[in-house]
Amino acid sequence: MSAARSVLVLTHRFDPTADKVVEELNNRDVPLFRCDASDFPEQLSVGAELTDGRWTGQLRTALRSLDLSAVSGIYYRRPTNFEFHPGMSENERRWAAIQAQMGFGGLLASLEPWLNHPHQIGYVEYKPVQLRAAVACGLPVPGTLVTNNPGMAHEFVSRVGRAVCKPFGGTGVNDDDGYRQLFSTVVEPQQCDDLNIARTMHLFQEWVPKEYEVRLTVVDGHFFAARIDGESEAARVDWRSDYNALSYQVIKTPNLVRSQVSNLLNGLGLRFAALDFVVTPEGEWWFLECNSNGQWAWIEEETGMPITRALADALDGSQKRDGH
Amino acid sequence: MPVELHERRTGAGLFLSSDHFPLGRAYGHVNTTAESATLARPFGLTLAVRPRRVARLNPADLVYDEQNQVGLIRDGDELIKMGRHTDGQTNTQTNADGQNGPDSDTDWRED
Repeated sequence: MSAARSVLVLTHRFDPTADKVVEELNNRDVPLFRCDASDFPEQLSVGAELTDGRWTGQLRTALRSLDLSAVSGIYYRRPTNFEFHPGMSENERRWAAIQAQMGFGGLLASLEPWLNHPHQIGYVEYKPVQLRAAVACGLPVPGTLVTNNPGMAHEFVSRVGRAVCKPFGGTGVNDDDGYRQLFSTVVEPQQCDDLNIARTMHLFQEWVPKEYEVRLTVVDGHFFAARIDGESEAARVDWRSDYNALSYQVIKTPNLVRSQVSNLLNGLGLRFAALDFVVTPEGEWWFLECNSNGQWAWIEEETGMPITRALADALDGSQKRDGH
Repeated sequence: MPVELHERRTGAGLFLSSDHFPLGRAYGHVNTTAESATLARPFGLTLAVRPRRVARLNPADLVYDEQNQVGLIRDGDELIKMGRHTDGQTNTQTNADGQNGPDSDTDWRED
């Protein structure tokens, strides 16, 4: 690794997951430039010139700078939005935002190497995209219906026998009585007569007999698999719904699954992913979803798997990558 | 340890529209305004439930360490590193009692 090469971390300031990687890189004395899109333009200046076919220049804050031509890795976590001068009008702010998006965002988008490139993150977040890609790689995927048609939903749930309704993404809503979130929820055919299925897209998925679930975190070809057992009824349906009722165990990823997941991530252009599987009583791994910018710090805390180290290796250039 | 309080505009979420950087998707953007359910509520939303465990952070307890580029959180009289204090799940409330739901940075584990 060249001592002059730096890691760029894009995230907001209070992101404890990113902090773990930053601390690891600090311990390695790796040059690091952490910033948020909200730093631009008032606290972050940018200048880059197209020279010999590449962008050269700097990002600069009051305390430090980043040489755009000497970046070993760019970690995209949870950047927020631009913050403009408070004296600007709303129309001026909107115009400036488009320029910032296309200019600052475009400059960053042209750099490499990302972990992961935000365009790939956004693309893979579409569940229909990732489900189709998983099937193409040979991974077993539960029967899935996406629809806003109550009749189709009723027919599908009746046909598969048991099904869940799950969100495509995003978070929940704030109701008068507090915040609510949709987890995977078992639904009966008669529930699907609800005409408000027509109000937006819904995702229904066949229930797969479950021995346990797996959260598989992959970083540049390193596999970190954790078995998750739910001790409550809610956790057995969707472990996200009841974290207090979970137990974890490090397990080995079957060779076939490793191969299929490697092909999946290569095809989707991802170096990092947090994937969820259901494992049947027969030991077969069924793909549920691929989180292209998923959380991983908690699973490291629970299992001791060295995910932080793998991410730092991937970012500081100390690990040779292949095929990405 | 040199630290600097990172100030945000008042009246807005601590993390303004977190992950709204337009290179990717908008993560976890939740409107802080509570509303009543309507008769047209989408079916999936009728299945939504209150999360059983939410770790709440008080924005007043957070400080950014510019030197080391990490977040710090006040624990009594001490400032400790956020990465060692939490497991990565953050749900920072701008309102003290947390009754009005999470602000724009609800960094759920399952993402």
